[in-house]
Amino acid sequence: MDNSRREFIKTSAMASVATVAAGGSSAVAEKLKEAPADSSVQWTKSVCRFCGTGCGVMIGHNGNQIVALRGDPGHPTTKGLVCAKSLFLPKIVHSKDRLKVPMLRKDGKFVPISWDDAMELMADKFAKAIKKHGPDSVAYYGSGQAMSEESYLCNRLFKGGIGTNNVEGNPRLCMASAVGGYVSTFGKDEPMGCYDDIWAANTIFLVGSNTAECHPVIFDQILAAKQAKRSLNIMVLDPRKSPVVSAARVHLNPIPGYDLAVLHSMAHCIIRDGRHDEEFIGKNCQFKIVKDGKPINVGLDGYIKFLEDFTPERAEMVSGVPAEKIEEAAKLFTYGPTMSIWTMGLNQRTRGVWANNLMHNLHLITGNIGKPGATPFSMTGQPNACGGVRDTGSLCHILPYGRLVKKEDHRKQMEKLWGSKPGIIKSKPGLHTVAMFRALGEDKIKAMVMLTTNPGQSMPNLHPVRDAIGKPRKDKPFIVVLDSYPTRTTEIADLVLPAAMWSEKTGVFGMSERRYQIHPQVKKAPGMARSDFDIMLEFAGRLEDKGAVKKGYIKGKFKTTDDVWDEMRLASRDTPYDFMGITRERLYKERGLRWPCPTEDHPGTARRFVKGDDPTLDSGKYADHTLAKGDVKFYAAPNQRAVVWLRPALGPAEPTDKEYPFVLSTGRVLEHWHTGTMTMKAEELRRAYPHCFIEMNPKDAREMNVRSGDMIKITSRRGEARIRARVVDMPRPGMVFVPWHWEDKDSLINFVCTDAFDPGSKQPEFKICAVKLEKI
Amino acid sequence: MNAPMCDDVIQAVPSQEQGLTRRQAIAAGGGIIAGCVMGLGYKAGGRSGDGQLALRPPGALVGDGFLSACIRCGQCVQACPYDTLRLFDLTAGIQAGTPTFTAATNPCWLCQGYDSLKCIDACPTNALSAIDNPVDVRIGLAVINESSCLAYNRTMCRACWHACPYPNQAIVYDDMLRPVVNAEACTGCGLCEHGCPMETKAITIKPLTIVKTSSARRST
Repeated sequence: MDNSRREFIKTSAMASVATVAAGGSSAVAEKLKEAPADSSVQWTKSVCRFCGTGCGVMIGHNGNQIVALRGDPGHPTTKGLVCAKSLFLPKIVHSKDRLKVPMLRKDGKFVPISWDDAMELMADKFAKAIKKHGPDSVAYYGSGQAMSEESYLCNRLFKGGIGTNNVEGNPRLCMASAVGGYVSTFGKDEPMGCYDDIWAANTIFLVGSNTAECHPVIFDQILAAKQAKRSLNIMVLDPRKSPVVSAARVHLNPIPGYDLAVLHSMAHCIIRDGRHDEEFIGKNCQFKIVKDGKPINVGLDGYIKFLEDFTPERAEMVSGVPAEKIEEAAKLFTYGPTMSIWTMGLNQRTRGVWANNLMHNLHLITGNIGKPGATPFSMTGQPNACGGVRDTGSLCHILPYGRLVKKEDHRKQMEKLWGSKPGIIKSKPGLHTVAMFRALGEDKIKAMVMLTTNPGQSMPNLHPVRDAIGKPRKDKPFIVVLDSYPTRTTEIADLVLPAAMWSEKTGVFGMSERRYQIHPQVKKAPGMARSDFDIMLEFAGRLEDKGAVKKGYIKGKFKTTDDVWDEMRLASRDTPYDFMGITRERLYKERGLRWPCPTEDHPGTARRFVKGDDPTLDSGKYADHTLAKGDVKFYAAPNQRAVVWLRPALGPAEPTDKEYPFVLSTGRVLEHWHTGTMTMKAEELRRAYPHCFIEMNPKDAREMNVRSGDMIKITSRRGEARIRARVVDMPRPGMVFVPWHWEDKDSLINFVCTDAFDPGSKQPEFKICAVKLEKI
Repeated sequence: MNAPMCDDVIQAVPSQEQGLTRRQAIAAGGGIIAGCVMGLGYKAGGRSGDGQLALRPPGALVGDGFLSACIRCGQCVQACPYDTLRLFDLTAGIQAGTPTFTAATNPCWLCQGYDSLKCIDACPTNALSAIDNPVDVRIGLAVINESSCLAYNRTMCRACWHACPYPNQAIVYDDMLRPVVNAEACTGCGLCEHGCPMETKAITIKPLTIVKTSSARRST
C-alpha cells in the first residue's frame, strides 16, 4: 500500500516534469524508463513489423510504454526466432521523431493545423478534383505495410465509391512479377507451398534471394534443416556472392540479367537426361508459346525442340556461368523434393514475369509441386504485401480475392457486396505505379493520397518522381501523405497527417505463406496521431457529405477494423481464397491461419492444389471427387492444367556499354529495412551502418585503384550518387551493389536506378542498370 | 577478460571533478585538486603502467618499447583523419601524452579513403612503425562474448561482419551463420565493436598482450 502510493507520487511527479519539459528531454525520458520497475509488464502476442517472414513476437508493455520484445516460442513456423531489427522495435516505436500533429505546407513552410481543418481540406481538394476533372483525376498509393483492413477500405472507397481504378501500392515495386508468374502459370496468385516445406526438402534452390539478410529467420531454418539432414543440397543462383553462398553446394553466378538462359539450360539438361516426370506432365501440364501476341499450344515435343538451343555450353556463352555448374545444378534439382525460394532478384526485372515462369517450369517438368518439400516459393519483402495488397486486390487491375477489373461478373460481385452504384467500377485498369507518377508529373492527377510508404525515396529514377510530387508550379496536384515519421516524401508533400504505427492499431498482416496473423493495439499513438484506418474512414465520410461518393457507402458501416474484417471474409467466400473460417476470435487465440480456411473448425491449408489438403477441391465449383488423396490439380488454370511457358531468353532493358560499363544492383542489409525510416531511428542499428556503401569486386577495384573507404561517384543516364567503396569479393566482376536504406541525398541510389519496367507486371528493374564509376 | 581498461578509470575522473560544488572547489583550491588528480592518476597509471591494456594506433611497438619510443608529441592525433586517436591526460601517469582510442565510440578506420596510414606517416620516431597495407595492422584482437552476442542467442544479427573491413577473412561465419573471429586476419581496428548494436558490446577488442596469454591462437 505504502509502496504503491510512493510509486504513484514518484511517477506523477515525473510525469508532470515530462509535460513541462517541452517535448521531454532525453534525461527525463531516461528516468521515466527506469521508474516503473514493477512487475506489471504484460505480454501480448503479435507479429513483427518488418519483412514478409511474419515472425511471431511477444510484446512486453506497461501502460503506454512498450518495454521489450522477444520471439514467440510458440509460433509454428518461426519458433521464437527474431532478427536484430525486430528486437529494436520498441525503441523505433518510441522514437522522439514521431509525427504528432497534422501539418500543412503554406508558402513553402509546414504549419500545424487542426485535424478538422486537415480532413476538410483533404476532402475538399479530392471532391473538387473529382467534380471538375472526373474520378480518374484522383489516385491512391498504398503499401504492403498498411493493415489488410486499411488497404481493403481504401480500395473499396476508390474503386467502388469514387469510381477510379487509380489504386496502386508499393507491392508493384516488389512483387508484381511474382503475381504475374503465379497467375500466368497456375491461374491464381499466391504460393501453393509453405515454410514447412523447408524441413521436408532435399534440395533448396535460392534464386536472386539473399535470404540470409533479407529473411534471416527463414535462412536460419534452412541452416537448421541442413544440420538436421546433412544430405540437404543448397543451390544459389545470384550474381552476388551474398552470405547464403557460404552454405551452398553450387553457386551459379550469371552476368546480371542473363539468368533466363541458365534456367532454360537446366530444363534442357533435365529433359536430355530423362529426369523429367512424364506422368506428372501428362496429367497436369500444358505447353504454350506466345506468337504474334497470342498463346499457342505446342506440347511437350515443342518444348523439347525449343530447349535444344539452350545447351549448357551456349548458356555459358550468354550468362558466364560455367557449363559444368549448370549440369550439376540440373542434376541436384532433380534430387527432390525440391523447394525454390526467390525474391527481388527475379521480380525486380524487366523480364520478371518470364523469369518467374521459368522457375515454375522447372518444378512442373520434374513434378516438384504439391508434395511436402516440393514447391516454387516466392518470398515477399513486406509484412503485408500478400495479405494486404495482393489478396485484397489493391492494385490498379485487380479486385479483392482473385477477381479482375476486366471481368464483368467479378465487377458485379464486388459492386453488389459493397453496395456501390451499379457499373461504377471501371473495366479498364487504372494507372500502374510508374505511369501514375508520370501522370502526376504531367498534372493529369489532381489529388493523391499516399500512406505508409515513402515513394520520395523508394521509386526508381527519383528526379522526375520527386518533381512530380513536390515541384512548386501553377495548379500543382495536392499531395496528402500519411506517415509516422518525417520522410523524404513528407518533406515534399502538401498535407502531412500523423499516423499511428505497429502496435498502436489493430489489424491483420498476411505473410508469404498465406498465413493471416493479427497484431493488436497495445499502446496509444503519440500526440494527435491517428490510425490510417481512422483517417481514411473519416475521409470517406466527408467525401460522401460532399457528394463525391454515394451516401451511406462507407459512413456508418464500419466502426473498427473488426467490421471491415467481417466484410473481407464475405468477399473471399466462394473464391479459392475462402477464409470465412478465420474469425477475429480465432486470430487472437491461434498463431495465424493459412487460407483457404472455409469453416471455423478448419485448421487452415498447408499446401494448395493438393487433394486432401486444399478444401477448394472438396466442395464448391472446383470440387473433384475423382482424385485420390495427395493428387495435384491446378483447378484455377485454363483446362485445369498449369502452363509451361516457352519464353525467349532476353536480357535486361539497359545493358552495359562502353560509356556505362558496370551493372548496378540495389539491395538490402540485415539490420536495416527499406528506406530506413524506422530502423535508422534505433541508434544501435544506425551505428552498425554509419553510411551507405558501394560493394566492388577486388578485381575491378584494383583496376580502378580503389580501396575500401574511397569516395566513388556513380553515374547513370538518369542521375548520380556519391558513395564510399567497400571492396569485397561479393559482386561478380563488372557489377556493383548498393543498399538503399540511407536517406541522405548524396548517397540516395534510387536517383541512379532505371524506371524501365516489365511489360507484363509493370515492375521496375531495380536490379539492373548500366552505370559508370569514378573515384573522387 | 573483463579487466577494466585504463581509459575507463581515467574517464571517471572529470565527472568526479564536476561533482564538487563551487564552494568546495574554492575551498580546496587549485593546487589541492591538482594533487588529488595526480594521485588518482598515479593509481590509474600504476594499474596499467606498462600500457598493456590500452589500444594503440596501428604499427605501435608492443609494450614498454612503445612507451619509451613515443615522445608524446601528439602528431598522430593531429594527423588522424577520423578523429579516432586521443592522448592520455596527466592522470594517466607514465602513459600521459601517449595516443590511444576507444573502439566502441570511435574505432580505427584504417584510414579508409586515404593512401596510407596517417598516424604512422606523422610519427617522428619509430614508436609507430611503417605498415604498407592496412591488412597487416595488428592493434588487438576482436573477442566475441557468446553469452551476450545476439547471433549466438537466437536473434539474427550480422552487424560485426558487415562492419568488418575484411569480411570473410577477419570475421567469418560458422555453419549457422554466426560470426567467428579469425585471429590470423583480425586487425583489431574495432569497427566490429563500434558496429555491435548491443549496449554492452558483445564483441570487443582486447590488446594483444592480453589475448596472447589467453586461449586465443595467434601467430604474431
